[in-house]
Amino acid sequence: MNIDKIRELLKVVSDSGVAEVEIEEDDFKLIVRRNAPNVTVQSSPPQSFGYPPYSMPMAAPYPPQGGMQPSGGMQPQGGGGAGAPQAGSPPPQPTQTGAADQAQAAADAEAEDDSPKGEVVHAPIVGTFYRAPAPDEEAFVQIGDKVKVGETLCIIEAMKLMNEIEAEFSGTVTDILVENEEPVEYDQPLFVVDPA
Amino acid sequence: MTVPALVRRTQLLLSTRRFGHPLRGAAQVDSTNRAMRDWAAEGAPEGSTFLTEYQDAGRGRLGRQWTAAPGVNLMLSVLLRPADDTHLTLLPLVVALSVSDALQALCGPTAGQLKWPNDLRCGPAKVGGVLLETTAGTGSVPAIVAGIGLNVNQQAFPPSLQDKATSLLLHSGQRIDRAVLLAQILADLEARYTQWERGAVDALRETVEARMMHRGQTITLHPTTRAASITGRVLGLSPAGGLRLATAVGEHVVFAGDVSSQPTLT
Repeated sequence: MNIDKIRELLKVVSDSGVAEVEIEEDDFKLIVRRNAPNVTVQSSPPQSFGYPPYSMPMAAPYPPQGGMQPSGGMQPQGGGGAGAPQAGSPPPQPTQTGAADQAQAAADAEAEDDSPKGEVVHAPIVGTFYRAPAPDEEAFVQIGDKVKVGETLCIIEAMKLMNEIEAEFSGTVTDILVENEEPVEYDQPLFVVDPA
Repeated sequence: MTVPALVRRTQLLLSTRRFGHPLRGAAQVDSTNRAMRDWAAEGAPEGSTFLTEYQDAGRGRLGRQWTAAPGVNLMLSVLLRPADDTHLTLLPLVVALSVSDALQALCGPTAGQLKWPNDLRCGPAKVGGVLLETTAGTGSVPAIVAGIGLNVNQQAFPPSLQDKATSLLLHSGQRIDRAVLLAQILADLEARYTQWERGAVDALRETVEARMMHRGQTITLHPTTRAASITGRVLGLSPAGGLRLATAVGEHVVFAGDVSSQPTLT
């Protein structure tokens, strides 16, 4: 299945007026629905290109390949209706961004500002955000935790360079702005730490 | 060969000035990167190298257990203390390239292809990988621990991995002297790292590109479970070492993820 085939399929569906078409191949499944959020693409990695970290004498315990685990191979893609694969990483979408907080504040101007207090810790590099040292281990920090200077807050990985991000000041973690395994951009807010 | 014997024999073969000096080993550690970081905190100099026969951290991941018998593979970590971090993101590729150099020197040009960002391959199967760890946030350029793992004289893999993993022995048909291989890796690492320190990054990038799998091919890249996969044709490397992909809507550079599949073009 390639882009042109998908485009062609979308046109056929559109012209025919059918409500839903589902196509399944070995490692590929495409569902097209009219009048719904439209396109769902699911793919599972072919066996021959799987990543077998547990077999390798890797010199470190942390190759967090969530997307490559057999159970994690599904990659649902948001459907804009175009049917084309997502062209690139989506912009980082922290669950609670400053912008979201502002929107909330604007929507409810009378309410007291209850956004977490403190200083924002930003991403020093582009990469993937990890809250824990390994997939099955506990997060470095939780909301409410007290952290000291030099304590690890998270890991940002770029091209298998694992950067442990350390606290530059002591305080209490009042908010975590990024989900585990989300891509982050340079200078993106990651944590709110109240130095008080 | 026991670890002390491997260390002693490697020391006799070393041609390097920095890398492998000093060289330490342990029969078993949780991870060589962790052991190297502890050593770095005690003031280990650049080039310090730690090796082991057996790593127990990471075992049981995904609920599965598999480890090769001790004494057949190579697991080591090398400490880097760069003075300048301008091209830091290229370092994983530089380390992988130097291991590729060593594999090609010992096993010929069919060994040691690079699969972005950190896999070493012999044909379609993985023979090893690199993983670097560092810290950020404290201002000065931090110490970097470069971990290298290679399947050297492993004779068999579980059925589920037979198509995915290989060893230098299975690839070349010859047992490899691990001391010779280790001394070669450290020599090549010193040469490539020196090249990187001198800022010869264009030449390094071109060499990596020439040894990279999937060039010109259309691949799908899975960043993480939380990011959508990306499909595109591999164009090469960005200045920072990211993978340049020609996608349906233009060129895109990715900095994380695994090249995990080639879409079936029907």
